Amino acid sequence: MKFDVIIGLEVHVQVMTKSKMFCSCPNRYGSDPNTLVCPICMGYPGVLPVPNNEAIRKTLLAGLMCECNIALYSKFDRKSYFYPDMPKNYQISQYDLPFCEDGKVVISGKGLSKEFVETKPIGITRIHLEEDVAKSTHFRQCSGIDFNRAGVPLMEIVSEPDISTPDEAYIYLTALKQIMQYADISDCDMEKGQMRCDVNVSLKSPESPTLNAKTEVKNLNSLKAVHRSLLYETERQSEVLEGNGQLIQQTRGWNDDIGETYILRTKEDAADYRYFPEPDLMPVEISSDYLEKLKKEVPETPAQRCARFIREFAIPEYDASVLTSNKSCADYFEKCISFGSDAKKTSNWTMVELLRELSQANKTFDQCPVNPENFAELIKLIDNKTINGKIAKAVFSDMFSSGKTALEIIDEKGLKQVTDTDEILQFVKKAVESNPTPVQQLKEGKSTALNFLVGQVMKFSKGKANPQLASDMIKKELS
Amino acid sequence: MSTVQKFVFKHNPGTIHEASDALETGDLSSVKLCEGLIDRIDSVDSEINGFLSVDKDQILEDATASDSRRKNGKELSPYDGIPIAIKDNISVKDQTCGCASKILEGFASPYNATVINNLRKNGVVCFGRTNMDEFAMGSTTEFSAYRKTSNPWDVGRVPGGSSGGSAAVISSGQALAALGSDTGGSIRQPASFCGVVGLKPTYGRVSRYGLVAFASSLDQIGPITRDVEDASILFELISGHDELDSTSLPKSNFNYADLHDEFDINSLKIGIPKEFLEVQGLSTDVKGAFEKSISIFKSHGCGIVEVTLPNLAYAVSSYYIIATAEASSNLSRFDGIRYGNRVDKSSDLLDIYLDSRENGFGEEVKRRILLGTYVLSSGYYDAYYLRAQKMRTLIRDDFNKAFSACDLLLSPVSPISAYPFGSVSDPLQTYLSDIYTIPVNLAGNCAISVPTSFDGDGMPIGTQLIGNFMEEVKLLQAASWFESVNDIGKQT
Amino acid sequence: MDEKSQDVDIKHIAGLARLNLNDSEISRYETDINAVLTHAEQLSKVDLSDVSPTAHAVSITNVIRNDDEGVSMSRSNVLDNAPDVLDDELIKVPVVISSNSEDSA
Ligand SMILES: [Mg+2]
Ligand SMILES: [Zn+2]
Repeated sequence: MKFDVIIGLEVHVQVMTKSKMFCSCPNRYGSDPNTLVCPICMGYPGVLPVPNNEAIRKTLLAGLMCECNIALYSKFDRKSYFYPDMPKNYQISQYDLPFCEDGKVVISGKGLSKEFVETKPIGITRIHLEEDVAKSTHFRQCSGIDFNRAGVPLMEIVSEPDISTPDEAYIYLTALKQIMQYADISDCDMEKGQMRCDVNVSLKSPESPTLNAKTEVKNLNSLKAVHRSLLYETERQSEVLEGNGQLIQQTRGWNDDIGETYILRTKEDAADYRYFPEPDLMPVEISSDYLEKLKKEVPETPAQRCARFIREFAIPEYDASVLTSNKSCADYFEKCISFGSDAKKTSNWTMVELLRELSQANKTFDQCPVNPENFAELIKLIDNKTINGKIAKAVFSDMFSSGKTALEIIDEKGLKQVTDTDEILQFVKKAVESNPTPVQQLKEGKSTALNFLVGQVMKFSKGKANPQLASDMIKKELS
Repeated sequence: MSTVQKFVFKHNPGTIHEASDALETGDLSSVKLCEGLIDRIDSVDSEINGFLSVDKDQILEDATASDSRRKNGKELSPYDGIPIAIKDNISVKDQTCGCASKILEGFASPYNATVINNLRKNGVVCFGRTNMDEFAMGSTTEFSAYRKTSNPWDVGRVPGGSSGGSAAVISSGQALAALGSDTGGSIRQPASFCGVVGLKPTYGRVSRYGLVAFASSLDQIGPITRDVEDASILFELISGHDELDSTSLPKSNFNYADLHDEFDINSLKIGIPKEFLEVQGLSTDVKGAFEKSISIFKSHGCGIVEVTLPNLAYAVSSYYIIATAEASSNLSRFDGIRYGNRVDKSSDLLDIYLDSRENGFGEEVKRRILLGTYVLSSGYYDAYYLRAQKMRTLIRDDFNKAFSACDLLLSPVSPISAYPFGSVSDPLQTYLSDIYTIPVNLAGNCAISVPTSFDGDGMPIGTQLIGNFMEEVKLLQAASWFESVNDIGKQT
Repeated sequence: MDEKSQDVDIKHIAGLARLNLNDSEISRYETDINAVLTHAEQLSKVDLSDVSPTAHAVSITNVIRNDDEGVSMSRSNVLDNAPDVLDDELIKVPVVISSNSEDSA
């Protein structure tokens, strides 16, 4: 039997700020354990929280990017449960009045299994702001807790159950990630735990209007794990149903090593979070003035930018989507264009040469040793035939490793393309004289011989001759 | 009158303002003042048990520093060198802050409460930690995990609570003044029981940063003092907006000087909520003291109007639902993981929680955690917690209406005066006796307890004046006037 | 609030609050809490349907701080307060069995 799969995602995204959500400890990854803590984020007796306005601003921005309604009045609540990674044994979160509600993210593109997904809107139920918990490390005999992460601002983005396949989930998460990166809300580096995901999966037989009991899989820490766990759960639930078994609502964990989910708890022992309004924090009111101001700060979404690149620069859709999938890549590309380089050539060079050099050097666009101005200059030098494409690749490699400009390298190494016909004529004559067989073949109409002779000219000129010019002159010489 | 009470102020100035004057003229040094009080502690606190700890070396070090500042003309304020006792739920850096609970035994706070910073800026010396009901839950100080504090007027009786230690050490001359905290009457009621002055400021006027939370939306730090003048001085020192407390009022600076503006009793209107005289269990003595204070105001030309607080009967229920709900959440951080006492180090996580909290918390704290957990739990939130919050709205509206007809309200502090240890043990009955103080916390208003007279057993009885939001000036002016015209009866 | 408060399941509530109670405590607290809840049933006699709840004693909004970095505690201070530590770096707890896990954020 084939079932319809209904998937909803709860995504936790750390908000990029200087300080934590309710105290002024640095919000920073990778410091020594328990060095970025204070009485407030450790939940010491007598401390009080004060909310970080930048975290709120970025949450509202995320809401606007996801086309949400922004709550003009919202508040914080306490969510209670005992766990050693939670300093106060309650988490300051938002219950019934989150900052953002009712939005959508439009997805399309290739999923992890390379299947193409047509344009589809995924509803966003809500985005609320809360505080992150500490990081536990598990050992054989005990666990150890590092509270540096405790209190880092954390957005929870809850989707509608609009997702139907693991690929769609994958594309949705990628789109969310791009949105967050675009607005500088978060780097969403899943390896650093900046983005974490819980998935809800349930099956429905196409004939029946009712869903079977859902499973929640918690704490998926990579896009791949999300994809795999969804495949696994769909399979597992199908098998139960096909064997005429009964599914019960449950929460499961994911074992990435063996690729299986395992049971954490069933509905019967569901947690009782005892939400109530946080008495230590005052409600937040968003004025329409502030909201208008914020709307002006909303950056273009990746989808909008992709469309604009196609329109404005006349590059193919494929190029535009690759360039805009990463905000700093798109920024780099646009900067180059502003220095006057040809759009299509710049796109090719960015997607092929630049991305390759960056990935080999394990560098990001921000760390790129070649700035957009110099990169644009290199492309212009190819365009105006100062150097040919082959030399340009070598020049670019040199620019990337030395940080010098293209012109500096060309001058230093004398790589300027020879367009002086007298000079090229000497190489042409030499090639014709020393290669009688190909000359004969060319005269008989064999066009590959021309390529050989042009190659000879290039060799004699150490690559500096303009190949087009050389070709023309060979033909003329033999006519 | 007890032997302890007889010796009050034999060796020391009794108030902050007297001591401040004496320091100013050079008749007294901070060291001499503190030494005198320490001597007094050594001689009487074994009988009173008002202090949990007194770090004599630290006190004398701070007093010495203050004296040398004064000597060099660099005193930080007129109150430089004045010792103030601190309730055990207010954080002082590097001092124990145990809330009279075993779960925080030995815990030293790594930071200063904002009120402590404010006092220190003025050169005030932190003078010992006073006993209290564990986590401020109780109204007798019998629920301290360490010792029962006695009422200095009769050591067989309770001093009230939860700031019983603070009230008792002032009443017995072991300190000039103290800080207490008031969630449902914990400053005013012990002040009344011990014959001293207790001020609960408007919610938000004094920072709660560093006050170990009992019920966040109700807690407020305030002074317990010998007289209204001292309460005003101490209130000025500790109040003000604080960026570390989100519930701190934005503009809340109080000028002590404003108190000395002309006060005209004839233009004052006092409201008497008619429900106050109908409270069940109101003792004849307390009723008598209340009527006495009404007649004092009346006889001096103050306007007296009858007002109504129609929802008074629901205040105790609402309060105990809201306060315990918040408390159950506030006290969940005490779990033996990050600080404080961990019991059963070898066991599993759940056992650490269960054993640490079982051994760490006393009876009343557990009772309130259970009640608070229940009213928030799935299926009961709307029936209890939400209803209580809605009732809170009505009670606040009642006060607003009452204050549209008068300047201040007059009220008893507690239906009964200080009683013998162990004589009231039923929790609900104890809760119900908070009827006069609780509504003020629910509404967020300010109120003060001023000594008024004595009961048949010679135990003090206070009167409560309740002020509207932020109207401490009017409240303190009237209280000071009342104090000056009232003949309290038996007094040392 | 029609459900009789005699239904209070102290054992369940104690579990939520992580309190270990013996039998005599359970029966004592049951009595005490039922008495308070029975008294509180008076609240159900008032029509509160049109009343909005009050969560704070003061009505101010938008108390927020600027995103400025401040000073943290020293690690030795943090670890000195902890009942048990690991490698002078982490706060030590018994193995956290993931099935105990309720949530991670
Ligand atoms: Mg969450
Ligand atoms: Zn912190």
